[in-house]
Amino acid sequence: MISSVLKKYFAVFSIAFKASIFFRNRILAQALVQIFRITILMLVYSFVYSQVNVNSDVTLQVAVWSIAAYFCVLSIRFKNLFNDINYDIKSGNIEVILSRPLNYLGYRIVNQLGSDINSFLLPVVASFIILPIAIGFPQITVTITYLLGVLAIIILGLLVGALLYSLVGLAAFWLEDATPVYWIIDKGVLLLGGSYLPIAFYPEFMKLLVYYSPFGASMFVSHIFYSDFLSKLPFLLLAQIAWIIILLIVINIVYRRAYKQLTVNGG
Amino acid sequence: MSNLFKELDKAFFIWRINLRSELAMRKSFLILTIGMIINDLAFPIVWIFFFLNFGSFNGWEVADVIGLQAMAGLTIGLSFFTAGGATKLPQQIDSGYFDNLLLTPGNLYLKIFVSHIRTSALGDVFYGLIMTVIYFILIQANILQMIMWLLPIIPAVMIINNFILITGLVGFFINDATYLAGTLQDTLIGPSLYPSGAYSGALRFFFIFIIPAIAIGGLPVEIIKNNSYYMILGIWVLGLLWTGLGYILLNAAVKKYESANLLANRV
Repeated sequence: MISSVLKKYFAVFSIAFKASIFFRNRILAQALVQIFRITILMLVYSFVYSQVNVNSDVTLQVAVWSIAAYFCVLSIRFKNLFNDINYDIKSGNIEVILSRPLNYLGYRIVNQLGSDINSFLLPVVASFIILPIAIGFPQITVTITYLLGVLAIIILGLLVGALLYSLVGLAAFWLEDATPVYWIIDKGVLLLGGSYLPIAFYPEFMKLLVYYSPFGASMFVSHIFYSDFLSKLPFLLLAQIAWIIILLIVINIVYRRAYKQLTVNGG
Repeated sequence: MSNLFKELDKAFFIWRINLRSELAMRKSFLILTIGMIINDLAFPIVWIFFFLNFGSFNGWEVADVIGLQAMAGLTIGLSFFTAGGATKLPQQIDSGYFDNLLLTPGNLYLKIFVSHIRTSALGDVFYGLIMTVIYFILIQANILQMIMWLLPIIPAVMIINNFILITGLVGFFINDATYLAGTLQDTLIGPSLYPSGAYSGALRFFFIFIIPAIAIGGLPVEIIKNNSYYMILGIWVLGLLWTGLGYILLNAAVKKYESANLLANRV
């Protein structure tokens, strides 16, 4: 039973993956823009660190690598889930997907992962080529525990992000246009995820928001280069798991209500 | 000369019709505008924390970054609000809508710009105005500085419009180029939101002349900081050059256009 469900999702993933390879220019363009962003931020921070005496244990390497980690994970574009769900609901396309023997949100998440996993890999490879040459590695001790911790933080963070954007997408059932809600959530992730400014530079009240909100939890990947990452790892993982459970419960309630009021016009 | 005014009059007429149709959905229009203002507020928050940590660098302080946000909000907002059609060019080419633009009377260059209004961009403009007021208070601006602040807005909008038009021209050469064009546009908008004091040497040259990101946000702030009339002249020259380039490249690229022969009702 479980294996047949998994097979279906794997089929969705592989179809989306193959389709994404067909549109090579799109993958390349997206990857290049992320590499461009990382390079610009690296140059900006290199310049700032050369000009200013930074009173923090966050070195240039830590600052830039943490921002690079943020943008690499961003390349999977789970934020796109909002646009897809929004479009499905407004266009009536949801009828076609609901008729398939798959959970709608599960289908959308796996489809998105398959579509953009390529765009994730290119900036990662590019970061590991450009950043060591330009600024070097941050001082971290890489162990099996560290690598497994990083992997878990990335996977759980992606799940938190996917559920968060799916929830906003479902708002389209009730709102004429849920785009402003999406903007606010998206900027929450940008602000608390450590996109342009590493989390370590935030004041204490902002750090609380980072650790205890789903916006920060979706991008805990930006913490992996900090010296205290391993000591904070259990807390970070627990926070992510808690948000996954909370979001799953909320999505379940919202989805059931939305499903009841769904009216698809034939034609 | 009278021909030019006639064409501008026609373009303004199309723009007004589009604006009326957008304003018909007032609630949605208001929500989008307010949502955009809230969305934009994330950027000054990040940069304020940045300057609180790093202090001033290369002469840039918190007030300057508020000015940068104000100018970027005004120029990007005005560009998308008055001439949002350029962002839709690849989509129009793919869908066959470009046939309509070719076959209706009027100047093609102007018709592309006014074919679409991004109403949410009005939120950017309001955000820019709010930030401008805060900036003027922070620097205790005098009348001359206020006038100098207004002068680069029109050429900066010209630069943005034509840069977006030029990136949209890839639609004539590559199928399904909407995403590619969008990512290319990000290379202008993204770096324009960083303090231009962080760009030095070759990077500064690159972001003024190749991707004119500094010209649409940072340079106008530098005009006020340095009281420089030459920089105002420089932005106007850049604006005219990008306009000429956009016009010439459009006329060259349009020769590559093949009608999509889309069969659909256009009511």
